[in-house]
Amino acid sequence: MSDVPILELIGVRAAYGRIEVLRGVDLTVPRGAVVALLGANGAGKTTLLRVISGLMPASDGDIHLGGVHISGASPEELTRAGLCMVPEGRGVFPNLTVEENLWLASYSGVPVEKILAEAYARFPRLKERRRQLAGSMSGGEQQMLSLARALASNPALLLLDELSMGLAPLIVEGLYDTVAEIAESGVSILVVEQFASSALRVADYAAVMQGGRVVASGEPAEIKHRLSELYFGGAA
Amino acid sequence: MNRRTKWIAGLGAAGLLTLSWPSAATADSSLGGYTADSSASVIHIEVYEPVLPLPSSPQGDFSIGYTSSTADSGPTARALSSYLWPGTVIGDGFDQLTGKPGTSYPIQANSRYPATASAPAKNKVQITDGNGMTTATDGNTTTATVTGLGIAGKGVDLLGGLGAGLGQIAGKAPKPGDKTLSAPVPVSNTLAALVSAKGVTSTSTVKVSDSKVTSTSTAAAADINILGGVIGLSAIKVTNTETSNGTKATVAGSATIGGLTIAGVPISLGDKGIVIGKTAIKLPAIPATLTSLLKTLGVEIQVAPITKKVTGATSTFNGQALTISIDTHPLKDALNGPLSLLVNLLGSQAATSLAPLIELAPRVVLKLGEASGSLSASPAYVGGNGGGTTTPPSTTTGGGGGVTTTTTTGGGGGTIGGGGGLVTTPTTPMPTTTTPQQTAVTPQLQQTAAILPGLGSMPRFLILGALLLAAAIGWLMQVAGGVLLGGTRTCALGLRTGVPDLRKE
Ligand SMILES: Nc1ncnc2c1ncn2[C@@H]1O[C@H](COP(=O)(O)OP(=O)(O)OP(=O)(O)O)[C@@H](O)[C@H]1O
Ligand SMILES: [Mg+2]
Repeated sequence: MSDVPILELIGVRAAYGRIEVLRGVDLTVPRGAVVALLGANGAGKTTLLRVISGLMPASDGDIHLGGVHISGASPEELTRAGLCMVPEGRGVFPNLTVEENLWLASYSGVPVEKILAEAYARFPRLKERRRQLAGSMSGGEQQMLSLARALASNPALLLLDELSMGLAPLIVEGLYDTVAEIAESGVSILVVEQFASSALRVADYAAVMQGGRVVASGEPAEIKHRLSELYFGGAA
Repeated sequence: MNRRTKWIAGLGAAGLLTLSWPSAATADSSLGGYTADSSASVIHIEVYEPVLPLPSSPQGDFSIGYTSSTADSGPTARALSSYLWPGTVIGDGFDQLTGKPGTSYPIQANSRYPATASAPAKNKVQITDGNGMTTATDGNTTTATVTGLGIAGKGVDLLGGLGAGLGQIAGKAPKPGDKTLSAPVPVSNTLAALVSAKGVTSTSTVKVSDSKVTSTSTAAAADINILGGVIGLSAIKVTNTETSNGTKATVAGSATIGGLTIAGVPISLGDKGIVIGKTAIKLPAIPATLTSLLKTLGVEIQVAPITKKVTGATSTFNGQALTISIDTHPLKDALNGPLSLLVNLLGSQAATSLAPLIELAPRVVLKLGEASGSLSASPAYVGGNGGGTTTPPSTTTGGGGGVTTTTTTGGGGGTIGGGGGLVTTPTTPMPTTTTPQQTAVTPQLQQTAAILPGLGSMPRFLILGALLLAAAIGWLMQVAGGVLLGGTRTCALGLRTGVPDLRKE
C-alpha cells in the first residue's frame, strides 16, 4: 500500500537508429493498479515496453522502478526483480505440448508441480489440453498459456502487449477477466492495447500514446469518451 | 492513412526498386560467375543411431548457434540463422515431416535475395537484445548472426551440481553439500546435462563486390560444460575467411581452444590456449586417472586439423575447435552399473537427465566451434552472364605472391550447408576407437522403443527429432531464455545495479 509508484517514466526518449520513436514519454503506474496504454499503430507502445523491460536503451529521460532510478539495467536483472513482459505474439513453443511449455518455466527454480497446479487452477482449459501441442491450440488458449507461463515467475509488474491481437471479442473479454483477477492478487499491470474497450473495462487508469508521446491520461471513462478524437485528431 | 499501411507501402516500393535494379556486383565488374557459401555452428551435435531407418549418417544432428550464408551470381542469396538448427532434414523439410503443409521449423530467421514474404531482406527474431537471430541480404552482402548470452547460470545450478564422487576421482577431497535442483526433471534438462555454454556467437557472411567475393564465418562460445562438467572449456573460437577474385582464391582461418579441464582438473594448454592450424595437434598429456575416467564414460576428445584447400579461384575450408565423441554404451553401463559411477560423478539430476539420450542413441558426437565455407568464382570475361556456377580457370596468374596453400586432410565433418537432406550419402561417423557394435545395440534399442507409450505409429526419427528439439529448447531457455519466460527467481544474494525487488513494497 505504498504511495511510491511501481513504475514512473519521465521524459523517456528512444530511437531506432536515427529515427526517434519515443519523444519524451511521461507515464506512471501506481502499485497494484492496472494501467491501459492505448494508441494507434506505430504510436510507440511496443517500443516503450521494450525500453521499460531493458530490451532497448532509452536515449534520454528517467525510469524509476519502485522509486529507484534505473539506468542501464539488463533485462535479466529486471526480470529477477519481478518485472515480466508478455510480448506481442505470445512466444509459446508451438511444437511442444502445453505441459512442456509450462515445464520450461521451471528453469527459474520454481518447482514444476507448483507451476502446473497454479496454471491449471487459473486456466482449467489448459489442463484439458495439457498434452496438446501448443501450436494446435486456438489463439486464446495460446494466450492463456503465455500468461500462465509469465505468472510462473511470480511477477510484481506485468507488461502485456496486445493481449487481444487476432482474437475474437468474446475470448478477449475472458482474458481481461483474468487480467482483472491477476490484478486482484496484487500484481501491477501495464497493458498495451490498440482496441480499447476491454482494456478500459479493467483499467484503473488509462493513457493514450500518439507519435511517441503520451497525449492524454486519466480515468478510463474520460479517456474512452475522448478516444476517437485522440486517435485521429492530430494524426495527419 | 495509418502509419502501418504507409510503412508497408513504402517497403513494397523499396522492394520493387531493388528488384528492378540489376545487381551492382555483376552489372559491370571484373567478377563474373560465382558461388559462395559459409556456415558456422557453435555446438554441433551429431547422433548416430544405426537402427533408425534413415539413409543418412548421422541419423540426427542439430546445431546450437547455427548460421549459414550462400550466394551465387544469379544473383540469388540466402541467409539462415537459428539458435537451434535441427539439421537440414528437419529444418528445411519440417512440413513434410510433420505432414502439415505450410508449416516451417519455428526457431529460425531467413533472408533471401530476391526477398520473399517469409524471407525478407532484413529479418530478426529476438528474445532479447543480445539474444537473437538476424539475417540480411541485398544480393551483395549476405549475412546471418546468432548471439546468445548466458544469463541463467547465476544462482541456478542448471546441471544439478557435481556429485561427491568427482573430486575423489580427480584426487581431491569430496565437497560437502553439493546441491541438486529440487525441481523434477523436465525433458529439457537432457541437453543441458550433455552440454551447456555461454556467450554463444555465430556469424556467416558472403560479400560480393565488383572485384571479388569473400566468405567469412566465425563461431565462438565461453564456459562450455560437457556431461555436467566432466569436461570444461573456458573458450572456443573458430574463424574462416576466403576470397576469390575470379582468378585466384585465398583461404585463412584457425581454431582456438582455451582453458580445458577434465573432471575439474586443469589441463595446461599454455598461456594462449591451443591454436589449431592445418597440421595435426596433440592435446597435452592427460593424467592416467582422467584418461581412464573418460574411457569409463565412453568419452573421447579429439582435435582434428583444419582443412583448407585452394585450387585456382576455388577454395574450401573446414575446421573445428574440438570434437568430443561419447559412446553411450559405457555411459549407460556406468549409469546402470552397481557403483552408479555416473550418478556419483554427475549427481543424480544430470544422470537422470541424460538417460533419454543414452537410451535413444549409441553414439553422440559434439563438435565445438565449427566453421566451413566454399567459394568459386570466374572473371567476367569468362562467363559474366551470371548464370551461376561457371568453372573458374585453374591457373593461378601472376599478381603479388600468388602462392596458394593446399592442405587437405580427410573428410571434414561438414554436415552443415546446402542440400543433402534425406538423400545424403552415408558418411562414416567420426573416427573413434570405440565404435559401438550394432548387433549388441539393436535389440536393446528396439525394446526401448517398444515400451514408449503411444508412439508406435510415429517414425522414430521424429521421436528423436522431437526429443532433441525439446531438449534443445530447454537448453536455450536455461542458458539464454530469461526474459521470454519471465526471468529467473530472485537471487538470494541480492540484485546488482540497484534494481529494487519489486515484489517487496
Ligand atoms: N526494430 C525497428 N527498427 C526501426 N523502426 C522500428 C522498429 N520497431 C518499430 N519501429 C518503428 O517505431 C515506431 C513505433 O513502433 P512500435 O512497434 O513501438 O509501435 P506500436 O505502438 O507498438 O504499434 P502497433 O500497435 O502496430 O503494435 C513505428 O514507426 C515502427 O515502424
Ligand atoms: Mg506494438
